[in-house]
Amino acid sequence: MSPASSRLLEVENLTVRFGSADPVRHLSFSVDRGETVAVVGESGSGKSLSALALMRLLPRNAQIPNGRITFEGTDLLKLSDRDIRKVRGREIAMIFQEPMTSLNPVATIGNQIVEVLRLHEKLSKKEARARAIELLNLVKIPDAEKRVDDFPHQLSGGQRQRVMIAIAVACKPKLLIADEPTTALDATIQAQILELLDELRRKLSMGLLLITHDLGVVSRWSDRVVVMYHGDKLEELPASELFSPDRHPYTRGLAQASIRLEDGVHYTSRTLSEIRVVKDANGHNDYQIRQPVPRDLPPVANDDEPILQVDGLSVTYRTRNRENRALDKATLTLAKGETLGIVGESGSGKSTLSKAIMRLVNAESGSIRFQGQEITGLGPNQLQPVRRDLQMIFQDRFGSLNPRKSIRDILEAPLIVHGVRDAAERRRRIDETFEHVRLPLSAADRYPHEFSGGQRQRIGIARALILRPSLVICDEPVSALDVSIQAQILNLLVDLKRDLGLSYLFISHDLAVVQYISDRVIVMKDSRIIEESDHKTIWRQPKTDYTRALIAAAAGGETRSRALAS
Amino acid sequence: MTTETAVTHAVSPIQSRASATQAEKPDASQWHNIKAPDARTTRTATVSVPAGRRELAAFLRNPNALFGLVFLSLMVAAALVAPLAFPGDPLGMVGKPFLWPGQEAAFPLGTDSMGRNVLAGLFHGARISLFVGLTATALGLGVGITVGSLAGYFGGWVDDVLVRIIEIFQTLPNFVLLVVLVAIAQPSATTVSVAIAIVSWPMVARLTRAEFRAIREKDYVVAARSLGFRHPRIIFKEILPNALPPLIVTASVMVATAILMESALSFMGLGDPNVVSWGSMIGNGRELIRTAWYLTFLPGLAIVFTVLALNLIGDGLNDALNPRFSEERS
Repeated sequence: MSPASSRLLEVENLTVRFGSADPVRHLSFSVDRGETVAVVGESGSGKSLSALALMRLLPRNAQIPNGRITFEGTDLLKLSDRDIRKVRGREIAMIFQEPMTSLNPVATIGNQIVEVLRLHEKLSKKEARARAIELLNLVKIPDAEKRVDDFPHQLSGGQRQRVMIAIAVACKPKLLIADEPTTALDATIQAQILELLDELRRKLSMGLLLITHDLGVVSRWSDRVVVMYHGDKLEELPASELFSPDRHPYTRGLAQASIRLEDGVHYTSRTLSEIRVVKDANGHNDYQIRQPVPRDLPPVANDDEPILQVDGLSVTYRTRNRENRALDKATLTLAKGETLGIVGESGSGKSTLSKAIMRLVNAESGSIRFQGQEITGLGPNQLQPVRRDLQMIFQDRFGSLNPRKSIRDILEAPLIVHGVRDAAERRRRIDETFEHVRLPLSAADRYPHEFSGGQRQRIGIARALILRPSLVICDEPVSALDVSIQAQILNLLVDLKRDLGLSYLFISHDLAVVQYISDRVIVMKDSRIIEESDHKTIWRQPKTDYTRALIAAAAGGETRSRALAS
Repeated sequence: MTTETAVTHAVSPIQSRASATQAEKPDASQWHNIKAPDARTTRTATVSVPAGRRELAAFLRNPNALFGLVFLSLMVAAALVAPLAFPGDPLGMVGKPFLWPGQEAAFPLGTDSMGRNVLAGLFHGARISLFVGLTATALGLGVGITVGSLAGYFGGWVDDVLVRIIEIFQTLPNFVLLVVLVAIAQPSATTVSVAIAIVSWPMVARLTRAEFRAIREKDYVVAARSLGFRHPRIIFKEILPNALPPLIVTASVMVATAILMESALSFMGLGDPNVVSWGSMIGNGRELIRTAWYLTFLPGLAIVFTVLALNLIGDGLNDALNPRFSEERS
């Protein structure tokens, strides 16, 4: 095969325009047959828009003022609407991030595959159904003959994503675009889905365009990487060189800011690098990497009475006809100044544990001692002083800040509720907390939607800190954030821990983050705590198979590219 | 090309190393990463507006809402000045019957089959129609929001009991219930308002309950609970403002529906026979619709425009109360 014909897709000088803004500028890259190319970038980098542009699926108010997208010799931008529809699904297929919403909930999965097949190919209903079962086998849905008549809600998240993939590859496309295909999935499932995509790429000799923010995924599963920032392509490089030191500063910054399990970084040994993009005098972006100076942290005081002691805590959710044991006899202790990490996949009961400790759900049995006081049976009035010391930071999915209140109102309300009557005093406390979380004071009179994800998370932290708590429960505080912002927030949490003498209960499904921030780690599975160990031992000598499986899924980031390089 | 230069410029390793070392110089402040900007920068609104003023400004900037407000004010003004502008009983016979609008200067909108002044009827009718519309809606909203928010917020047995009560009201046909209620009580503007409120609150309650059930699970409500906020504060300050959009739209429709229900009652002769309302005017004119269509058309027009004005105000209010939307308009 000559080099020219191995080229599947060639994007040249592509610009996407919305009104006066160009969220993608002069983007050029190519994908060969059977090759995996990854587009990496943080939110707002234009990576998803570029993917939509390839399928000509951009919103109506978007324009493509210049550029060419050549797919197998034809310029997709010049095709009529009718012709592009023939390309979509048959030649180029796409899978999306959210497997919960991209399947039609009222149609069986079999019929959804059949529909696609019969749209593009002349098949009888019977043949199409047989092909659908074949496809379900191909994406490794067990018992495909039976599951073909299932509805989406009967499948797990991972299985739904497999069905999405089955639909995407139904017509044997030459190019598959996967837009954050595993972001919404647990680590173990994530690895399986990526493995499946890679296998299908080889079997069907597809080109695969992988769009992601996860550098670990990129280095493991792709051949080449395109790095984007704010609509600009910064560089293109072989995946094996992603973590090598002589790259574009932004790439280096991303690589340093992302925490990988196998690096074994811990907050006591070093701070995380932060990327800073500054406009210089000529209006060009200047990418700076900086690593905040490591700070001295007081050692965890082990001799003191533990700040939190949970004993045999169980929670059962009851609906009319069903009981669900969400937490089963959880026991843990947390020393003053310590960070206890809790890992587990979705549904393992980690959020229920945090809510039970916060007394937001009622425990069925067991006891919670906080600062030496039994808080399990306290009524709302007695809980009030406890709440001041026990606070929570939420995962920000746009939902943790009341959209109708200004930031000042959000921060002032807890002070009012807790009896800070003096308005000047409240203002002083708010200003002080702003300084703690490094938000400009001008932010106070604005509303949540005016802030970026990272800033909103700072506001969430400010709300938790305004009452000066001693224990803060962090429920997935960084999982919705970009890596560079994740690094900033983690550094901030460490700083706050030192400056305000906080203890943390840190919940996350991301093992690398938990490894970085925790002094001790608890692993949860099926509503139970199955393993507990200090932060070094747990990664080196896991006691249970489950923990081993979790670590295996999260680590080994570079195996594939290493294999390719050798 | 600017992009090219930007990239080459940034790639220059000397440049970036220089800036990195510069950045590592100890900051003057005690914070290591003070004012660390996020990779994504957001537009900043520089003006800070005292609470309440922003909503008002946003509302007044909205031409539709302004039109609605002006029209409704005119209607209210008409209702208020009716006794001064048209002293005497609007039901009194003052001229020749069947004068068409414009036929005689004393009766700009003509007279009806009994020689009553149509314009005076419209002015006085506005009193009854607006009173009934606004009172019935206020009562219905009050009861409906209270019941719905309690049911939606607390759930459990509270919800069970309240939903049963709502269902009892909803299983009865609305208008039949209204007719029965009015037939039992003396027909007057007040009783008609109360009766309309009784048949219309269950819809509000259901809607409020559904909104509360959805918002109750949001993280900011959980955060409020974890901060030790009490139930009334969470219900009224955290949840209710976010549940308002559909309620405001419903409220403007409810005023309209109440005016129409009152009209329907008057049309059927179940309203207060001693006062004139837009509905009773339409009812009286209906037999003459082919010969003197203006008798039904004019009060009908008054109803249509009032309802339209209320809808516009409702939409405007809804947009103004939403910080996100009102900023986009500015």
